[in-house]
Amino acid sequence: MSAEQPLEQQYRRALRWYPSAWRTANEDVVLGTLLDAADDSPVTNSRAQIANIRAQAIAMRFGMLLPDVSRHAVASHALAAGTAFSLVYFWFYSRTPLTPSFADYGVPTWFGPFQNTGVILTALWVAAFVSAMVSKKRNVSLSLSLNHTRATRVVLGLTLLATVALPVASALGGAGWTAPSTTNLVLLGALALLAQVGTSASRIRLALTTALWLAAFVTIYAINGRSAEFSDRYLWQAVIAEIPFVVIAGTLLIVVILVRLLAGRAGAAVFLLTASPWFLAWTVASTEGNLTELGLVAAGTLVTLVVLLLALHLIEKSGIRVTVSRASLDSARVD
Amino acid sequence: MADKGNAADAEIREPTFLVLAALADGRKHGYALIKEAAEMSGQRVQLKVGTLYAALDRLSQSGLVRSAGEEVVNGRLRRYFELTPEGAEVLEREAARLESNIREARARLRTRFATASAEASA
Repeated sequence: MSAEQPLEQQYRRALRWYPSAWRTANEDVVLGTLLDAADDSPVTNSRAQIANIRAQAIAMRFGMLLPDVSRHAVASHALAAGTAFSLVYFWFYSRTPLTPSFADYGVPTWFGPFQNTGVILTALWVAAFVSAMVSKKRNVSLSLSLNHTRATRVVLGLTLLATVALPVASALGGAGWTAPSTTNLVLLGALALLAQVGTSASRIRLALTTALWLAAFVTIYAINGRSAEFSDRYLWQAVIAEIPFVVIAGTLLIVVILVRLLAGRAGAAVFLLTASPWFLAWTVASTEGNLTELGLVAAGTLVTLVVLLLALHLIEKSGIRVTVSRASLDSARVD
Repeated sequence: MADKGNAADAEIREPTFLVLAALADGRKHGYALIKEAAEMSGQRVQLKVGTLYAALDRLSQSGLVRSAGEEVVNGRLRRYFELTPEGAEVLEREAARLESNIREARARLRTRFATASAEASA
């Protein structure tokens, strides 16, 4: 028994990574199993067990913050937004052969017949979307890891890889290709990352969300008269980058608190995660590489996060939860 | 909350299938499940303890597995698990699916060998 004391202590230390409620219910049982396994196995196996315990504990904590349903909502939304944005990017910027206006203005192309390598990203996003739409597997609660089909995961992984590789390839020169702007790459990269945290819950919802995003982007471009603009940061420069940080941070703060009150912790986490790629892209677009401005935005973000965490903590402690019942909605209508 | 709708439709991964299969002939504790999963897979699947209990948590939440008592052996606490009727049903369905795949694969291999030997003798 004494020989296993150090090992038992190591296991107990690793098990502390789990949430306390889970430990209360399961720690001694899991510890017993770990020690049973250690009786038959060399020390190296114990190290692997400890690493595995820590990984599972982190996954459990992440799962508590963002349950499966919420993860799938975040992923589905990211896939829809990424697909829609990449299509709009293609339509309004990349497709030089189809837009004579580019040639009329003497704008050169830098990637074959296309404006830049962004067309590769569009192809990958569309492939990921199609793969998710034709997938037969949905929200599998039994699997031990993330749930996209292998094909969708691989395509999304390639999308993320391409998002990083394209500017590197462009910077290395050689073929003279240009990559999409950092703003758009940051947005698409963050969306590709989020799209992998779960799977798309329903084809109809994914298709509808994608269609809504498409309609929103096309409307913004159409209203602002895209035709004579040759920068791929048009959407950001013309619309989003002009919004001051205070307005963005204040709006996010208020909306997250409202969502927390109405839809609970998971709802607030979903909203924050869903909004984060847009916030990151806004940061890149509005600071334009100016380190002082970047520092100010970083400091402002930190302050906003502290205020948000404090507000969420107070809500958590007070137990306040706003519920809107059908009866109150009906009476509001009558009034 | 149990998520039986998803569980019924789910395509089960091999480690989960092995855990369910190990419970098919009666209740077992954690380490017995790890050993049986390894044995059934020809030592190919070596479940880590953390992975096993994550799977058991999910299976319990899906209503396919439930706790079936605890006992202390050599100063170590053991919890036993057993299949629920829904778990047995899901296991049966998955086994039938795998058997069907195997039958198909064998039939196609027989056709391939028959074609190959016919070509060799021609």
